[in-house]
This record gives sequence, structure tokens and C-alpha cells, in this order.
Amino acid sequence: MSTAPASIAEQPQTAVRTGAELVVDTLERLGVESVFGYPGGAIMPLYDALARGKVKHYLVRHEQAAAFAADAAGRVTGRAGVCLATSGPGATNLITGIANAFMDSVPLVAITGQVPQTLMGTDAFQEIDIFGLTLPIVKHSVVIRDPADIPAALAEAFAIAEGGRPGPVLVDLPKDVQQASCARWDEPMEGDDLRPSPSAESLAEADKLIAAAKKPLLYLGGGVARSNATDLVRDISERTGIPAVATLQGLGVLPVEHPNFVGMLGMHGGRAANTAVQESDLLIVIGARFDDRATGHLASFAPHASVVHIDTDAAEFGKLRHAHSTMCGDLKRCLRTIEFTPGDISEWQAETRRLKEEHAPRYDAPGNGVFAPELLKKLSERAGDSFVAACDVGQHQMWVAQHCRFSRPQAHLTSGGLGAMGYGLPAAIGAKVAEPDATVVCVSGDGSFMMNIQELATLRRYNIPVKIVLLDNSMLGLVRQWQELFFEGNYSEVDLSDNPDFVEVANSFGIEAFSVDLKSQVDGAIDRLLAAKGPILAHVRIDPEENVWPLVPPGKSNADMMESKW
Amino acid sequence: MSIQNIRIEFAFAEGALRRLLGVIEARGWIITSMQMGSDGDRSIMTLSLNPRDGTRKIATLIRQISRVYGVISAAHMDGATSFIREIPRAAAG
Repeated sequence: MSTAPASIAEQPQTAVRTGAELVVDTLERLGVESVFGYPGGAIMPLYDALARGKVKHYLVRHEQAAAFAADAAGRVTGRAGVCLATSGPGATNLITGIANAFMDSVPLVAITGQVPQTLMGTDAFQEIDIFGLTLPIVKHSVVIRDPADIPAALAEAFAIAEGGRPGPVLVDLPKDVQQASCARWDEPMEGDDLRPSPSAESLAEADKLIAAAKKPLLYLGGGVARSNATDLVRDISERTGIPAVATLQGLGVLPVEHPNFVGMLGMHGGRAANTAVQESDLLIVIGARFDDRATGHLASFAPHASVVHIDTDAAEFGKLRHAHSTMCGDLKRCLRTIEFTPGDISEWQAETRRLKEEHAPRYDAPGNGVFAPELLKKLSERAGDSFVAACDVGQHQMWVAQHCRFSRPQAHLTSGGLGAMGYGLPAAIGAKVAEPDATVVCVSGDGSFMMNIQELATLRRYNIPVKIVLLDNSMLGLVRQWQELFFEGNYSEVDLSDNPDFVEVANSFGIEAFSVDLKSQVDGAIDRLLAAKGPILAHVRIDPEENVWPLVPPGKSNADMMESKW
Repeated sequence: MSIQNIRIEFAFAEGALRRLLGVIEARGWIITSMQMGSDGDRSIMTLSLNPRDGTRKIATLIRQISRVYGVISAAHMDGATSFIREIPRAAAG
């Protein structure tokens, strides 16, 4: 896996190429092996060239899935995933996926066809201003108006998507630019590394705060994975013994069994982690942004803590929480320059370990029905270090975060910032394509699964051995839970009891599937899932009234947690 | 809420103006006045902004503007809290 920004091999200019051919040439030179997409009128020249090139194209059944699959490939590899779509509806169908990559800082390059330049601005058939529509949700975007600009513009798009704080870049390609012939073109140039280095003052202040702290806590976010800094953070944690909590996107930086890992903080975080944060006198925040789902009521969050904030993006400093020391730049470079020499924190270490033990999750749920947290915990442990979870959004997503074991943060693919239902199945496809040796499990709910269920056809077409665990409570479970707790049980539009028979649906796509109804069937189901050579779906019926615990009510302090009554 | 004045220098490129104005509005600021000039390669814009609520910090906005690809410099023109980020000319295009 490489997280180095894109570089491009030199190629002699020996022949006349069309714009579309230059796109394919450049993708190949950038090392792109796979793209996800769906053809249509305005991108047909590119598809024509693609069919004669070396880049493998995966035909999805909805453009949103192409963006989600590319997003997952980007998260797993650190290199920008690539999705393609035509103009108009093809392009607009990418938008949710682009927004997802933007919110979670994922490297992604989205290439869209556009109507010919002479028709742009005339309300032509399938014309839409995708450049304008996506401006707020891209790191950068460009309309390429001259085929000679294609190699340089595409290479720049990858460099921007992958460099610094990663993000999505949109490349809009008018059809005439794809079709035009070109004898000379601009070669890509190597960009400068513009990431700043931490200042001596901020370094000294960080060292001083860490040395003086009695209750320091590492606060790990998604930036650790994006900067490929996991090993370094693990080393710091082990060398110093400083306890750590993680955000949803930071899970896996330290495996759950690590003695220094206290747990996930936030709305569905553990009591141990939230208590540790509230008691801490120093948060060392690495690649995190004080998301509201992590902090709860901001004014009462970590009331005794000073903050050392380390991030690739200076715009996060002081945005929501004042930092006493800020360090901007490449995370690894920043982390290597801090001394990390805390004083005697043995009492604090013992306290956080006691909290973790005291508030460990319970799996002795009453009844004979399947207890989803137990199933997910067992499945992740049985799959071992190769386990990669691609989640949808809802209760199951939180159970995955709370109960699965991740060997690394790239093993947990979840739509954190945007919270996009429908992410799971296409993300699992993208992850398995990017990392064929991984045991990729799509964990979905019956609501989310229906949002991109058509991608079962993609699984079948390419025989991608993704394992699907479909937790079916015939409800929009998380909405139902909130209606129960915060809307006086007024259940409004959450009933999904008219779902199709998911086993029959999967079978009709040519995918092996089976049902699980009882706790006693769980071990056998895991055996079957892990043994399957091709794609497989386990349809798991769970109690519609099961809730996700713990829960910090919206707008409340993380100290005010609601927990299970059993 | 007090009016804040900022100055942005950015590379002249398709969509650059829309992108910058979008960032400012999306981050919770109302643009109350604006002047802009360009020499063909670079544009310079001065704006007066009003925050939508008391939680908006001008230093944060300046950093958010500074990270937009193609921005050469962004500065808060009032008071002691001015913040400037310079990006090399070669990187701005």
C-alpha cells in the first residue's frame, strides 16, 4: 500500500492521440488498475478508449455505487479511487459518493462526461453543471477544455486528491475534448511539497504540556489512517503508555484488545472512553476534528483538558475547540518531532484500564434470538487480521464500531461524516477489488441494503467474494430508537415489514444466501460465511426493538450516557 | 456582529470566484460588499463579511479559504488577529 501522492512516468510523444486516449494513457501511467463506472452518451469516447486500454473497468448498476466503490478503494489503499459517469443524471448520481469522500477526507477522482463545449450553457440534453453542483463538496475540480491539457490536469487531480488532507477531485470532460485529436500535449509536472513544518514554539509548548500532564489521552481520528501514521502512533502509545481513545474513523489504530486503548468516544462510544475524556487533563488530538458526534455538548466536553492538536489541515485548529498547542503538517513528520515524555502517569493508566474492564460490553443478552453485537464480535475475531468491514448506516454501523475487532483503521470502512445509507455493498466491492486477499464483510441493515441492492448484480458479474451480513429488524432501527426515546414513541414511517425475501432476492441474482434466526445458529453461520468461495449473503433476523447502547442523547454531555437496562 | 474585512489573492481559473464565494457563504458568513480586480493571472478580491452567528471566527474562515486550491494569500484586514498564508506562485496555477 502506498500513500505517496501520485507520480507519473514519462512517455514520449510519438503519435496523435484523441483526448479520450490521453485520459486512458494517463490513468495507466498514474498506476490506476481499476475504475468503477457506468457509460452514457457524453462519455462514450472515453469508454471506447477504455475498452482498448489496460485499466480494468467495473460496471456497476448505479453511478452512486461507482463513487462509493472508488471511495472504499481510496480508503483501503491510500491512492485515489476512480469513478466514471456520463453527463447529466450520471454525474448527479455520483454526488452522494463525492460528498461522502469529502466529509471523510478520502482520495477520489471522479471523471464525468460533459456535453460538447458548444452546447454547454444551452440546456442541452443531459447537460448539467456538475462542476458548479459539486463545488462545495470537492477538494478541487476542473473542466478540461483542451485535450492537450489532459495529462497534466489528470496528474494534478490525483496529486491534489491524495496529497495533504485527502479529498475528492472532479474532472469534467466535454465530449468534444474527448474526441479531439492532439499531436502535442503538456506533460505533468512534479508538484512541490507545500505542507508546512511545525514551528519550534508549538513543539516546545506541546512537549511542555505532555510532560506536565497527569492524565494525558491520545485522541485518534481518521487522519491517522489517511496519513499512514498508524505504526508510528502505536509506537508512541506503547513507548509512553499514554492511554488512547478513538473516533469512529480512528478505530483500528490501536486494536481493541490493546491495553492502552480505552475505546471509542462519543454518542455511541463506551462509558470508559467518554469518562476518560471527561477526566483527562490533556487531549493529544491526532488527525481528528471534534465532530459533534464525538464531542456531544461541546461546552461540557473534556472540561479539564488542555489540547494539543496535530493535523494536516490548519483549518481544523480552533474551529470547534481551542487548542493550546497546534501543529500543522504531515502527521508523521509532526509526531516524530514531539518528544512524548510524560511524567508519572501510572495512576491514570490504572484508572483507564479499570474503567475499560468495568464497562466492558456484555454479550449475555436474554432470549434465543440473535444478538447482533455478539455475532459481529465473533465474526471479526474469527476472520482475524484479514477482516475488513464495509458498513452501511444505522444501528448495525454502530454495533460494528462498538464490537468488531479491527487490525488497522483501513479495515473499518464506514460513512462517518455523511452517514450515507447504501454505502456498504458498493464499498465492500471496492475494498475487495483493491485488496483481494482481505476477508471483506459487508454489514448492512434492511433499510440501507435496499438503497443499493442492485449491486448484487455487480458482485455476481465479477464473482467478487464479498460476504454480506444483513441484519434485518424490519425497521429503520436507529430512527425507531430515537422515536422511542426522544419522540414519545411516535413511530413515524419506520416500518419495513414489507421487505422482500432477501434470500430469494439474492438467489435471483445468482448469489448463495441463507437465513439465521436463532442465537444457536450463529457459529454455524460464521463457519459458512468464512468458508464460502464466492459472494454469499446471511440474512439475520434480529429483534426489531433492540437498541444501540450506550447512547448520549443529542445535545447532552458525554457524561450523560443512557445504557441498556439488562 | 461586527463587519470583518478580508483580502484574497487567487489564481485566475474557471470557477475560482464561485468556489471562494461558496466557501465563505457555506461557512456561515454573509457577504455585504465585494470589490475585485484581475491582471489576467491573478485576481484580488476584498470583501466585507458579517457572521451569521456569534460562533463564527474570522481566523477559522481565513484558514478555510487558504486551503482552497489556487488561493495565493488570504488575510484578515482588521485588528491584531490578521492571518496571512502565502503560497508559492508556482503552486497557484
